[in-house]
Amino acid sequence: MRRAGHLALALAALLLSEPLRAHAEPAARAPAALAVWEAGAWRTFWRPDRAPERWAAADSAILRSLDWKRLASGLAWASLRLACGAPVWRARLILARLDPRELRLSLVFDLSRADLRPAWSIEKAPGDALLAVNAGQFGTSMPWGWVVVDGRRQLSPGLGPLASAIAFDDSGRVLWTHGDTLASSAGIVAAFQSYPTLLAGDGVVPPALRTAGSGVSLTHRDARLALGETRDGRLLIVMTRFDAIGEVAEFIPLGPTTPEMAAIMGALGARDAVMLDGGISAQLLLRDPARKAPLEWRGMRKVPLGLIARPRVPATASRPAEAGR
Amino acid sequence: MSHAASCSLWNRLSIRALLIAGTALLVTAPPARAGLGDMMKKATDKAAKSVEKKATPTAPCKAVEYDEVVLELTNDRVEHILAAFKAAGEAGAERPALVEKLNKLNDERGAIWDKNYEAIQKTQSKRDDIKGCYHDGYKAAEQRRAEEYSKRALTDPVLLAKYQRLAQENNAAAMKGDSAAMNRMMQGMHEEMAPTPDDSLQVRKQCGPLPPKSAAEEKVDALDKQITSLNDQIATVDENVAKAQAQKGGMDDQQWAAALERIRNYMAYSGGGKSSSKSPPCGFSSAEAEALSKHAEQLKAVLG
Repeated sequence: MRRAGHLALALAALLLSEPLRAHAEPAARAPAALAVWEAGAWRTFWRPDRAPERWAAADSAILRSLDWKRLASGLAWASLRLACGAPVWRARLILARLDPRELRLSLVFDLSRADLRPAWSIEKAPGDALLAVNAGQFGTSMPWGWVVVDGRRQLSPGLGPLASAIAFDDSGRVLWTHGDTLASSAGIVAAFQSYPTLLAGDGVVPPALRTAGSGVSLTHRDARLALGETRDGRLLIVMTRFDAIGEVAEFIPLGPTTPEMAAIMGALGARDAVMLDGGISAQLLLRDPARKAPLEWRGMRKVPLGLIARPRVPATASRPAEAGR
Repeated sequence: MSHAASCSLWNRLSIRALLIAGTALLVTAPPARAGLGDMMKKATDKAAKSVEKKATPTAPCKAVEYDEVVLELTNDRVEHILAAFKAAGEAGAERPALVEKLNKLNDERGAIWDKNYEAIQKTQSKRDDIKGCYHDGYKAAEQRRAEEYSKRALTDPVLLAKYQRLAQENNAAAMKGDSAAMNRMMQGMHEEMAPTPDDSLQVRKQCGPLPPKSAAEEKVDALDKQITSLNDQIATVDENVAKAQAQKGGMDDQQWAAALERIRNYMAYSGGGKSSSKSPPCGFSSAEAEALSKHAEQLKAVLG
């Protein structure tokens, strides 16, 4: 009982002190700054008035706060807590880090046959998928911009100064192109476009994300999903979920702005990064092959395009599932 | 606009209730074998994880912050959205025919693919092997040329004279900012190390020619082009419909997309839009909840 008493006191301290400190620090000290919860305290890592134009390396406070958990060869995940001072919001970041040299990446283009409406969700991820996430952006049905699935072009490229194209070849090479140029499609097995670009040219934040009036809202907050590549060639998938009570709160349009999301990706060590469809579309599945149930963050609607990562295995004679469509 | 309404859930959950829940969790936890410090760490970790997963009151649930993208879903705005869905039907009139055509082409492609799968795979595999052979051959030729070059780079008077001339031309071009001329100079330097046309001929002779595309492959390629074109057309129709809807709804594209997303969010968490709770869901004002609830059936019909 004495032990239980000690534990209750410890728990009381934990429950009482942390949220109070959490409320006080980022809000009071650094309005609109981004802070990460690290070793029992909020550490500010980005301020809009001192925002770097280029992220040359990851932020050390962010790196320290990450506790990567290995799921499979070439795949790990972590989560961390993020806060902003004004307006006060708190988000949980869910991060997946994958090595495309160890995992085979493919796209699923899934529309209902009857009326061609989005039909993919992580529930449709194949049993051998280690990761599944919605890819690109879409309005009502079709994905926006360039889509290549199993080496076949499904949709033509879209144009836009803040469009980014991500292409994968069979060896695990990831090709990024930003703006109105595209990678050559030779050897590409999967590719898609998304927007807006968050980081390009080795960590550079696009000028449109630093200057108001460039066609991108710099103040709109939302639940976000982004894809980036670190300097060691690994991909990062970063999802934000509003950190509050109940699942409904996860989807309310409160979270990072676009410039803040660029800062988050830069602070995580990305050199290239782009936003994917966030809000109610954002969904992520991660699977530890040793565990029966996957980790799932579900979306609230079906999407037309899913990105799948599977273990790289020697090619077999079996017919690929997607080849026929 | 109501910016500050707190979520009722937050208000109802007190720290005290959480403490009681946390203590109950500890009392029912299995006995620990490690020392007290370790046990406390494990228990606090477990409690933190449990609370974090279920009901961590890490931030009060606030009403949405309206901005230039997220507009308040007033009754008037919801009615405009519904009217826009009705009025924008014309912009999408050609869609069903395009979908039908696309399905037909996909079926045709699927049938060809199924019938010729083995043969296509075999040809593609052979093609890949030959491409691999070309790649290796060019690499070997490059290496051979580079070795030859390194042997004569400092001794061959013709080569030295050529580089001297190229260097002078390059400097002159750089002074003028003539990037095209500079590229020509670089090409002149690289060509000494690059495989020659004779090398290419030799490689192709050794590896053999690439197998031509079979009739089935040609047909699949042609269908793929048509399918891409139809996908593009349908995407354009959908984009036009969305634009027309946004315009009729009195919003821009971003505002329209955000409004529909919030409506879907509301409907998903309020049993199809008809909420029985007196408090609005997290992220919605009372006025919004009222307007959305009032038009729940019509919204469900257009948004699915």
